[in-house]
Amino acid sequence: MTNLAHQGLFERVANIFSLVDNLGDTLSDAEVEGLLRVLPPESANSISALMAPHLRESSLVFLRTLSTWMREARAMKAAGGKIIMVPFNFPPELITAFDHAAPLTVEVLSTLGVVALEGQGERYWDLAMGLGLPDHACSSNTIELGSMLSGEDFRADGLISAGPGGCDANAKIHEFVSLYMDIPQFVLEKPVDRSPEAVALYRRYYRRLVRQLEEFIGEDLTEEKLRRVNERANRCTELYYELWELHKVRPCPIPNLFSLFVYATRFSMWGTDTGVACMEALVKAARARRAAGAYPAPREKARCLWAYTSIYYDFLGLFNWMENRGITHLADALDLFMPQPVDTTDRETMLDGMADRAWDMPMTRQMGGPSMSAAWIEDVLWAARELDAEAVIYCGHHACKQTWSVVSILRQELLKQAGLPLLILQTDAWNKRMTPIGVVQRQIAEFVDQVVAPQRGGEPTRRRRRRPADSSSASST
Amino acid sequence: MLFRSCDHLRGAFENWQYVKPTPFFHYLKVPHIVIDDALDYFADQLVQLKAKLEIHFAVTIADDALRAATARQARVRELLRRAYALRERERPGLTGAQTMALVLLGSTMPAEQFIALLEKELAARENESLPAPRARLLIGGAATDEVELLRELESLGALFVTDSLCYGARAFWSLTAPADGDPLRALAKLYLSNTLCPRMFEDYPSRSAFILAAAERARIDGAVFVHNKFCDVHGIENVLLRKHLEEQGIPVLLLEKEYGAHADRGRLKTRLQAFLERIGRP
Repeated sequence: MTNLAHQGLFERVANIFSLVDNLGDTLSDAEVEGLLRVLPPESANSISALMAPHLRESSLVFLRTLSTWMREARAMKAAGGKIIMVPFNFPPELITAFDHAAPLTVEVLSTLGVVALEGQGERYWDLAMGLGLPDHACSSNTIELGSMLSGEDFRADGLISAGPGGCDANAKIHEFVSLYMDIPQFVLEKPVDRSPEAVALYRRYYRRLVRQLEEFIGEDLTEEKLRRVNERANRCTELYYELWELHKVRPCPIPNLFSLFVYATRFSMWGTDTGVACMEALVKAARARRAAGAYPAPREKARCLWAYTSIYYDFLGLFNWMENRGITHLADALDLFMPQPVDTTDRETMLDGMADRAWDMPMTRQMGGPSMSAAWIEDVLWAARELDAEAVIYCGHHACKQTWSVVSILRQELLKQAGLPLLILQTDAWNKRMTPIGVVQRQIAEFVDQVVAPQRGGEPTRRRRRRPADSSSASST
Repeated sequence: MLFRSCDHLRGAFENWQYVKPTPFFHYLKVPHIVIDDALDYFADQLVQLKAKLEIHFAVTIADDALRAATARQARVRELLRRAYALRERERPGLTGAQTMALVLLGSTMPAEQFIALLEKELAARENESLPAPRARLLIGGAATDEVELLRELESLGALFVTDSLCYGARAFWSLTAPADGDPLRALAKLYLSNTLCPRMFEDYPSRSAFILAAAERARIDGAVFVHNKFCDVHGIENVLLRKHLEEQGIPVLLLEKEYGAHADRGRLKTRLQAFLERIGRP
């Protein structure tokens, strides 16, 4: 019998998600209650957040999307196809276009481990640390890659690194795993330049990558295969902008967790029928909520944009915690991949379009510019104005040296150009060991009450007397 | 002027420019892979840099002047290799700290003056020998220009008889005189194709081969790899180097340090002392 304690992250997550396939399209409160009783506490926490009544139907579609993604990867491996690990800043539809390969996205798997597994993937992080890797590595990828390094997880056949140009930590940890485990790596570098010459160079780099993958997988990427994924990706793009428009409505009809649903779909099933179905379900739910004038709290107190990632280690609870207090999570920077339709005229137009989409993936787009702060400020300001945000929150993920190094510039420019305040948190977004979630909640609540509310014309909330420290005082702030 | 090396340096220069802009500011875009497309791009970047310098400072940078400067740098590298030969020989003529000071000096003064100074210094050192050290070590890793740190570590009786540092062998060792032709393209090829820095991708075999060759040449007893806190490129690569060197029978000590912090020295010396005991050189 397999010792579950020694299984890798992917196997454990895929097993848990396979349960979703046995659930119906709708679940009653009693069924949710029953489900929560049989799940391990960690999974139950996340499922509890996802099964909030206003989210439930959309969450089920979303969970099924991820379940399908993992099931298809397992099937591909079993059939002798190749599993290509990709980072979140690489469009997976290039791999999906192959008949004999499937993508798995490192950061999506880490996040699923953090929200669904007993121990939240910490054992894999610890294993990576045990090898001597520095504690300033990024948990978003090191958790899953640590699982691979343990030798207890499935073995990827190839790794794509799209980190060079956007993030040293991401680029180096992928290279490390490739060399340590002798897994072929394929590099897509982003020139830190936005000139026409740089765009042309990037398109050549992208074609080089395609040739390398064709040779490695042993399959030609025909025009027909590319068109198949790009037509579906284009449909996802249309739906993305429909959701974007709905985000502009006051109060925002879209549940906070949809921000995460959108980019998790982008990083996994974009360009597939399953991905299209997921995006359609999100748009349908958002439209219905708009028609009903639905908002989860009595009033929308603050419309917030997150400047980089969100925080994931509290089982998705922070999204709903904010929502219940009238704090709207409009999007985070992982939603800012600015999709554009790909011209499907022929193979060359599609490869150019796919390269351009890769260029615009989050982090690559913002941090991979000639100036890290300029592109980031430009995108955050644009999104904040578009979505009518009143404040911006920076998660302060400790491994993000590129954003940390220029976040003070972002703060000054947001204030100067748009009068937008920026809250700077300090956390590890995937590892709960660094900052208690109660501290994060208190900082957000005070920021909203003391900074954002007065700007809106409301009075700052008077400070309550501090109660004796206990866990409930933090979460009730 | 800044160039694309790592995220930290980009951020540092960007803040500098934001808070106190300088009259001349240029960002040199350096590819991190070595293929023909990247070389063409980098050569073009050097053309743009030259043009910007000429306009801003109202000067002309002639091809002949570039070739002459390139030749002077080639001479500097030749002399530095001689310095390393002194350092790496059975009875070293230079300590690791002294060698680092020389390399740093060379990066901060006009080449002609440095050449004259280095020739004189090497001649004087040729017949000098240091006492046999407790252990012959290689030091490698991140930006380390702390001469005092090396001096203190060497005070334990070990000598850094060779290195793989940014301010050390990696800065010049593999750079050979460029071929004739367009001097800017030659420079682009020289620097892009021979950069033994972990910021470069698809090039780890060159870096590990370089270190193993230095280890063999200098007959080391062990290796010490350092990285500054938050330096991902070296912090992660050092773990890989440890694995590969230990597979070759070379003991390795990994050290994370605070850049330039005196408060860190005692801890680092303790770690090195323990390492020397571990490798049987107490």
